[in-house]
Amino acid sequence: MSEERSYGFKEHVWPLRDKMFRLAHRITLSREEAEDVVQDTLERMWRDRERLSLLDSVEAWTLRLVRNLSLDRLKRSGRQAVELDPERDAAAAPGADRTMELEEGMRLVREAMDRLPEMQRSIMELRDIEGKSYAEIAEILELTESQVKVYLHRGREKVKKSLIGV
Amino acid sequence: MKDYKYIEELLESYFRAETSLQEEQILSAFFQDESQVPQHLKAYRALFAVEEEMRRQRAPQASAESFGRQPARRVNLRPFYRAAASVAIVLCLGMAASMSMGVTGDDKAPTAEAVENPDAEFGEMKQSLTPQSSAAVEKKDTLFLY
Repeated sequence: MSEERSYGFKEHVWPLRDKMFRLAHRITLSREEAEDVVQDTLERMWRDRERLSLLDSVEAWTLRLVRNLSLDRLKRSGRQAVELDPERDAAAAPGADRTMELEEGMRLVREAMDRLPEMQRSIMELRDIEGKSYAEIAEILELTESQVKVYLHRGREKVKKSLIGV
Repeated sequence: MKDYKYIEELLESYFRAETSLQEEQILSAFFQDESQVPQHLKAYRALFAVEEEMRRQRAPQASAESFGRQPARRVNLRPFYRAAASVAIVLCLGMAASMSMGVTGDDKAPTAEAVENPDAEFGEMKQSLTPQSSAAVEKKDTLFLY
């Protein structure tokens, strides 16, 4: 990838790969699907790299594309993203410094998060993991800030309920 | 005894989605240190631990330098496997059908009686050239067209 031809792709799009992967993984709940979504997104952004300078926010645009491609994949495969990802649970090996109580709590949280409707899940990902402002999330998901807060409130409340009694 | 009222209020605001990013960072930092979390708030540690775990998730390694030149595209071969399997099944069925129709008295080796009796052999051959037999041969050939 030569500098003069990347039109900022290398500086502005490529570094977003981890964020792209996390959001795609949150939506599809599949590592493999998430990897494919990242690849598709990068290829599309690469094809349109000459227009990157026209975007107000490359990151918001890219993450919106990630979400749309993730939803397309779910639609094509005919499944709802409510399945748990066994690879994810296998990868989350118990930490040496974690108590059994904490491990059990974390398992419940992951399951509760996976069961959230896609919009609530995406918003929790963008807010709690990526640290986006309400305005940024609203831009990525094409919602109002009030809607973002309502979805976030509902998602967090459901996760909280999963922890009650632990 | 420490006063955790501030943290409790932040938590309530957090679940109402009314906290700022800065306040959420305070909560996250607080719950990461197990020693300072009182018993009645310990359950919430799991939530912030999972968030921290998710933040550490990374995309698989890839090279930016090679991306534009040679996209590492994963090719889905499943449709090709399905097509190949379908063709193989049809061919097998076709061959089996043609074999079952083709193994008739016509294909058998001449009997000793026929060799000794050329007239009888000629009669068998003539019989095999009747239109009924031709139709059977034609039908057998069409099976290979599937």
